Amino acid sequence: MTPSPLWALALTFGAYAAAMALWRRGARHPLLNPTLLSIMLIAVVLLATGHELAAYQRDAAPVTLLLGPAVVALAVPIHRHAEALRARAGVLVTALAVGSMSTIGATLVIAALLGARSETLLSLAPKSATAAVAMAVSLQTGGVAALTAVVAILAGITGAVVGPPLLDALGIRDPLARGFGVGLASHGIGTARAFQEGEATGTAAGLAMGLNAILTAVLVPLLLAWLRLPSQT
Amino acid sequence: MIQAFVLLLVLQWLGDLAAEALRLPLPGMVLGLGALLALLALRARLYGAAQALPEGLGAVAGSLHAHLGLLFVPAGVGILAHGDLLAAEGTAILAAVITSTVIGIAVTGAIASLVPHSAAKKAAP
Repeated sequence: MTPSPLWALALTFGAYAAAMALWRRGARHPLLNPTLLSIMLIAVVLLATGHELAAYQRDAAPVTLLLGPAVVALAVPIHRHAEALRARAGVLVTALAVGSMSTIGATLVIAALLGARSETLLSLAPKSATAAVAMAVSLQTGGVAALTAVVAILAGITGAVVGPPLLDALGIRDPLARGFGVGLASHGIGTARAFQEGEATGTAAGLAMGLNAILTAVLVPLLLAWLRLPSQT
Repeated sequence: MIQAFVLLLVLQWLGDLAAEALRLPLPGMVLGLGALLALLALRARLYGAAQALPEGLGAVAGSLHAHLGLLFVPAGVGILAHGDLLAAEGTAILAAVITSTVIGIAVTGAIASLVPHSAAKKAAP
């Protein structure tokens, strides 16, 4: 039985529409994050109907493919807010460098202390970069790209769920700072959440996501080589 | 709007080509972002800030970003394929990812909220 490839798109969009509706009805509670709910809904449907994951992912690939143009299009809000961002360039560059290094460092230290294998460490290291970039870095350094995609999404969901209340608790109210923190650590999913707070927050998140994608792609291979973690091949 | 979408696709494709040709460890989409940013800055200089965006680009970018969360869904469903690894090392993975994300947001947000006085005055409307 070969169902039309349309079923995967219908399932993806349908699950997302249902998740958005649930999230709105649930007073936009962070745990009802639409990306998380959609993934859970689709997983349940696939398991319940016995559909193969590989077939679903192949047929739903056009959705993933749109991540490319979406990342390129981040230039639009960044351009719109260029002046406000430029006025804070020094602070933002410092935040980017320190934030990126502490996220990658904390990931490796905690996972290593809890006994993760080196292949897992390689797959986790680039997880704060947007999924497509993180997977590219993981492939390059000898990680498992599919695991990287999953943990990148986990990092995204964590930031989208925990980020805003955490920033509230820390008394960080400035939209640019809030967006920058969430976008750096939680890429597109955090950015999607940040855009819900407003365009300035979303833009700062998008900028941090773009810059951290670049920095992660440069830093992770260097750091892993220094730690002698990449595979010997 | 279609033209604007084609522009995004072409810039990403050119970014992929450039990354491959120059052997940069960067994904093409990130280079495409940089190229579009340069293009918009150039147009702002040539035609003025109000005319910087090509027609329809704002709308395409807006709709892509409004539903950015949707675009990660198929990749996220891939978690189904990693049940055994998550069972074996799930605690280490979850603890590392969640803790490092919290640290990243707190550190970055705290530094980014340090507004220098001169910038605060300039940025005030």
